[in-house]
Amino acid sequence: MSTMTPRERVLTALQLKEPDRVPWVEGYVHKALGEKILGRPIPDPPGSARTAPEILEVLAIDNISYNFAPPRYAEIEKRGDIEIVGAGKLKTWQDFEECKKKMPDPGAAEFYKPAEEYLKKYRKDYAALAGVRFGPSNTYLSMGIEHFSYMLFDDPDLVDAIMDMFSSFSLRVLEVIQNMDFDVIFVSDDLAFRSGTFISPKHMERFFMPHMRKVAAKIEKPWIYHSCGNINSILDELLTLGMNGISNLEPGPMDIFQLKKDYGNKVCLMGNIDLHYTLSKGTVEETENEVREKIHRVGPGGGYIIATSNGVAAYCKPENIMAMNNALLKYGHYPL
Amino acid sequence: MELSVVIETLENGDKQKIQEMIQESLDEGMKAYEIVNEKLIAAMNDIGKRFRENILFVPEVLIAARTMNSALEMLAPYLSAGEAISKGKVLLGTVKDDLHDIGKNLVGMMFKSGGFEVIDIGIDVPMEKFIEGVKEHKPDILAMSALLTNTLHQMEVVIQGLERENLREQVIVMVGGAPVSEEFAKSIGADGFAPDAASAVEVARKLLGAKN
Repeated sequence: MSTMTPRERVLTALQLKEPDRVPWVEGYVHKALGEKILGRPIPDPPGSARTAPEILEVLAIDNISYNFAPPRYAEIEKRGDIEIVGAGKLKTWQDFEECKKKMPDPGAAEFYKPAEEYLKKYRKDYAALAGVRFGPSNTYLSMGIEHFSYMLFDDPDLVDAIMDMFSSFSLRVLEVIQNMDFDVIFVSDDLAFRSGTFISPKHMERFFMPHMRKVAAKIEKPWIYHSCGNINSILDELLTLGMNGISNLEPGPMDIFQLKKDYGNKVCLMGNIDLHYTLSKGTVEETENEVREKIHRVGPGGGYIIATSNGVAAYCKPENIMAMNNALLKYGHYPL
Repeated sequence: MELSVVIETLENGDKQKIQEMIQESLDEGMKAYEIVNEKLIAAMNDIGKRFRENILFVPEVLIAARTMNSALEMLAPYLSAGEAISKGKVLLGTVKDDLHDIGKNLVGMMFKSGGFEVIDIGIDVPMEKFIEGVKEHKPDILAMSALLTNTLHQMEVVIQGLERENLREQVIVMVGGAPVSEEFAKSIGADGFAPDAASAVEVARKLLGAKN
């Protein structure tokens, strides 16, 4: 098979077909890890991009990504590359009114300027991902998950109003960015712990799904949905939203081999290379074995995008990320 | 005071109704500690069990625990010193460099709802502060939480600190959090591990039972 561009490779996998090799897509590569891999300091990723372009010189990652997520109104502490979301600041109707005033204007042309410049400079033939949100994670993180939980019972209207603020933001963003040079929309909204969903199916349907359906219906490009944790119990319902790919399939709760059997002909599977152990604590050999096994068992027929189980995090061993890269290039070419 | 009605009332978060039910039972001559042990804690055990089974979720458990706490507050004046309901004392914190508190808070609430006394020393807690806490509060259980793969080793640092200070034998050490596994808990010399907040209370009861 002739060599595809990274963009063609990703889009082919999302169409559940076999590209020239298994594509590799990451939502982010933390700068600190990029520097360890490259052995030199690198600048921060430009604007709201989450991967420094320099890292693509050495890793066979097939995408760039730019983030259009709405803000989270919470105490946020930045420790290196990792943003730690602390106490929520959006507790009352008064807070809500103030937050509404502070929201960036997704109708303003200048909101998209940095992204346009980014695309002009780094687009090349990569698959360009635009990151957006449905709204749930911004809602529960801005409220704080405990307060959010109480408000589901005490003041459901407040939860609705906040969800609406965030999902309306994304609807407006989608109107603009789908006319920009992006290939794939990447919707990231964590809905689950490792044990199961944050909230009951009844609350999911009542508070989240209507907004998620609204945003999903607006998406015209190929798209990938991301949640951490155990989403098995809601997977069928999520798939009705019509995404082309689902990620990042956290190892442990999400059995990618079973998912390939049950859903492999419906949706492209992305992720599942283990951050908890293999990439952060395992050996180069263990990394190579895991990558090879997943390529061989999930890759056949297409519809598999390799990725870590979240992103290339700062706490990974650089030699293991290189091992993942090398194993992909060694075993990932079709026919597998 | 039917247990099933207590369960339903806690689950619905109906503070007024639970307080009315308690008043009625007190008026009928039921002892406060009986209400706590046989009704409220029993009801929370049932709610915890269904949480573990993914039938109930975090919001329902938080609502139930909040309602339970209001009931305990109401009953406090009726409990004499000899009727202390504490099932044990738990010192709880998220390890150094880790600022996650949802799991820890939920564990704290489940312990409280299970009749334990809980001292929460917060997030990003360095080894020294855990040691001080053990010295000061003399807990039965030290419970540590971590969400980040790269902060897990702090649990081992704390256990080593306890050993250095000759405190290790005095306290049961439990660990939990998304990246924590039974094997990991064993490998660092912890006494107990629980995959979720409700199980943490069960594990604590077993460990305390085995110790006493």
